[in-house]
Amino acid sequence: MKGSLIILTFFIAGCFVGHMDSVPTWLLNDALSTYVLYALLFLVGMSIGFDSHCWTILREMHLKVLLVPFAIFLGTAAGSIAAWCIIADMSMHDVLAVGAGFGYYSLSTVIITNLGDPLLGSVALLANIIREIITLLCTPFLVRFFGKLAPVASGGATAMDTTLPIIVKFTSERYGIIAVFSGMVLTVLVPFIVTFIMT
Amino acid sequence: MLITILCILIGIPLGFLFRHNKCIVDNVNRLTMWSIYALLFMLGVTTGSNETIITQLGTIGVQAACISACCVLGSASAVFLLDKFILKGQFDER
Repeated sequence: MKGSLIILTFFIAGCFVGHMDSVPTWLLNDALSTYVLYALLFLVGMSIGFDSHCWTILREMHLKVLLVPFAIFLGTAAGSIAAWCIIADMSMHDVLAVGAGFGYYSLSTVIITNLGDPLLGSVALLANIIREIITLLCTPFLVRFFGKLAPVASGGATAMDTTLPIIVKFTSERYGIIAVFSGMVLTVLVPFIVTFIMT
Repeated sequence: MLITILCILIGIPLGFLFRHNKCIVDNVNRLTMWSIYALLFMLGVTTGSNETIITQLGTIGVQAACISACCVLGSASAVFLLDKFILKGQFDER
């Protein structure tokens, strides 16, 4: 929660700087943010490499654990299509790309913006931050109405880090392990799926 | 697209190799955080200097809230069905 507030603060500060009349031009240069993105992706790759118990979990829980991120993926796509029916003026393609962030706002926003749609990028940032906040606030209700896997689904890619403590608190350690695994799979998938939908 | 995938794929074996080096792990985590901050700040600059976005902020907020609420409900229902019909409580403590 604190982490996402800091990130939101940086974004809002950037908005104010950008809205001023005299913006330094090097800040508006796309190449700079592209290189920072590459560095970030490399670092994300390294942190996936650090965590070697991903494979142990998979062996322990059998391949059925893979069904969890798969179901989350399908459910999110179905939810995006439902949202597309409610929102009149967005293309289905765009709504799916925003949904495919699975709460991983930093990466999905930057990818969408870099692929040439800053307006959609802002929608992705807000939508994915809201998804994380919903998970942090509504986990008790989700567990009650949809079962113990629900907060793992709602958290999406964030289930392995920011929303993990709350998931473990309202379910159990075992679901925590499932959350880490599912979050990892979705985190790896986000850049691929978002880029795939956008191009 | 190829470069983005390559960046992640190069990182994984390197991370695996250095997973016991606490200094590297800590620095990678710190750098990750700061590159996210830097990116979001630059994103804010782009957003703030874009008049179209500023004038449509209300619409964007409503659209975003609608998409995230639907995605949460959709994915929660999907795992509910998965647990009820396929897993049948297999993940519960035995």
